[in-house]
Amino acid sequence: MRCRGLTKRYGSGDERVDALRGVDLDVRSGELLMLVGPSGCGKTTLISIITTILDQDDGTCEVLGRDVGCMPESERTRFRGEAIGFVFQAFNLLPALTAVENVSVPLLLSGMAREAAEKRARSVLEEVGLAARADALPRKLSGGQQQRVAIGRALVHDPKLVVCDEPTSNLDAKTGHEMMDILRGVARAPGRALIVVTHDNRTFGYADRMARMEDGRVVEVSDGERQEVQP
Amino acid sequence: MFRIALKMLAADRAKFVGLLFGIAFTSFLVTFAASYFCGFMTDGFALIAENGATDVWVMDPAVESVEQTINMPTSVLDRVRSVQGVGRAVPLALGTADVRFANGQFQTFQVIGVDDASLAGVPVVPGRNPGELRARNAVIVDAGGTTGKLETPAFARDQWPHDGAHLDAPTRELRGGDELLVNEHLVRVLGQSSTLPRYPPRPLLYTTLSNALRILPVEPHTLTFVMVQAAAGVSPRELARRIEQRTGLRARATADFKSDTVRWFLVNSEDVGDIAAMLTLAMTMGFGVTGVMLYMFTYEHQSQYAVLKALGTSSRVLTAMVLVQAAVCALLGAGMGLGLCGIAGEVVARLGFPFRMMWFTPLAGLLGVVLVSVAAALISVRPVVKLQPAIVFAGR
Repeated sequence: MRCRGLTKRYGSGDERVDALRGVDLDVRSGELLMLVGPSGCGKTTLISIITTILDQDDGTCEVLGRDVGCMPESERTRFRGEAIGFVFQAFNLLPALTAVENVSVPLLLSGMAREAAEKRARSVLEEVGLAARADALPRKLSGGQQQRVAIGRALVHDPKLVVCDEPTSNLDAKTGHEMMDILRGVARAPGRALIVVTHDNRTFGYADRMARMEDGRVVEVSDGERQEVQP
Repeated sequence: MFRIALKMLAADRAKFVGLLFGIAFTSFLVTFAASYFCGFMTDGFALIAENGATDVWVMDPAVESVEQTINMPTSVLDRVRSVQGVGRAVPLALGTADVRFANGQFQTFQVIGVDDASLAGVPVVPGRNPGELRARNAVIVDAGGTTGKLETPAFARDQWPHDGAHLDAPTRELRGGDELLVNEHLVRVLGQSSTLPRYPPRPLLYTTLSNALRILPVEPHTLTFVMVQAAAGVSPRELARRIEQRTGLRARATADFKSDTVRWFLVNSEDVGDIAAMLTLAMTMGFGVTGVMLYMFTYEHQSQYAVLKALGTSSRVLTAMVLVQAAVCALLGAGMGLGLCGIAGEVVARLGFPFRMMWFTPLAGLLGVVLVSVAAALISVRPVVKLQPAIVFAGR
């Protein structure tokens, strides 16, 4: 993933907000990049552009070799569904679906038959340690279990880019470390990059590199503090 | 994805059941109202309906319904009979009379004078021979959709008293052998029939044409309709056209005359207009409730649609999901409502209310609900399609 000179403004006149003011950032295949910075610094806007959810105003953003700014809306949607996995702070599981059904959603979107999708989803749930609760509804799961399901959903279609938005903020410290262990252990794979947006300095040790944002710019990119983290 | 849409729909059972009941209530209301209105309209052309053997109705050119008529000279009967294709043509006379009961009470009746020879149009009176109606001043009475208006004194002492009217005397329903006073003519009741109720409801007094001419006030013209049966192989519409060409009278096939009568009521009857306005209001309310409920349902699930959109669901699939949800709700709810309407209709019809579920009323209810549901879904899907999936991120 390669961004150059990304800018994004919201509103106009007195209400104009410059969310991104020329962001340059690279994310390499196989690495876990943490995007950190204070609230309102533009992290969410940046990952929204990277994941083809938002348009940039200026600059270029290439994801997996594709210039996302030049894609038509339908192509962006398809690209997002095939190439990107999401893990959200609030889990955002569909409450009507069981864990295995939630995990199988990206596969169903890609056109896979339900039986095959659920079979694959069960194996992913096993990888994230939740095989026993595969048929439970989200409301019957703890926060940590729900986030495991969300991670399963992000990985089930084998995306090349996984974007995690504050994945540990709603979890206690122990569960947060478990999640990061899963992300570093299961999600990281050859040819796959992870971008983790976080405020949680307890998880900084899991990063290969860290990009610090301030006031709409990436002000510092450093090697991560990757180390064996003790929960 | 449709399975997911249905699971989303049924997940919140309370809301789903509420939605179904809302739609069921709407389809019930719409179908019941439409059927009730059809009942009124059917009662409006009851005279045509009860003369099922008649193919063509012939009348004065200015007449448009059975409700507002003007008489024709009796000579038109022969003119009609002379038209090629007419199998049988019989006269029918309508009039109005204030009828005095034996205790002094009075009631306005519609007098229906039928052909003396054929007695075409005479209702059945259990246990009586229709030919008895040919007796001088013999009549058959009918409630015509009214209740309690065919009451005569129960005791002989209150009948035709010489000490003034016994208006508060105990009464019973008219039956064979009772007498009534019509324009100073004493008529004898053969019995009470149970023909189709009228709209507006009014008591009926059937007699022969010759009796009718005797008891009704003298008029220059006495023939209201000529009821025609077409000869074999002649279509009623074609015969009606022929009669109009040859006689200059208005002739309508039975089905067309029913439609004319309904149209006449819709245009001319203020009561029907009021009823139609009331029912339209009820139907609009029902449709409005359905639309709002479906809209709210979709609106409340926006965050879930945003997640699906972020995961790569296209706007087309999201639209299809919302439409599937709306269609399933509409079909299930409408089915429940129509079933309920059928049961309620059977009950109210047995109680004598003008309820008639014609073939198009449930269809109208179903189509109305489905159309409103789909329209509501299309309106509610707009924000879903325009939805920025970025709202799923923590910073939004």
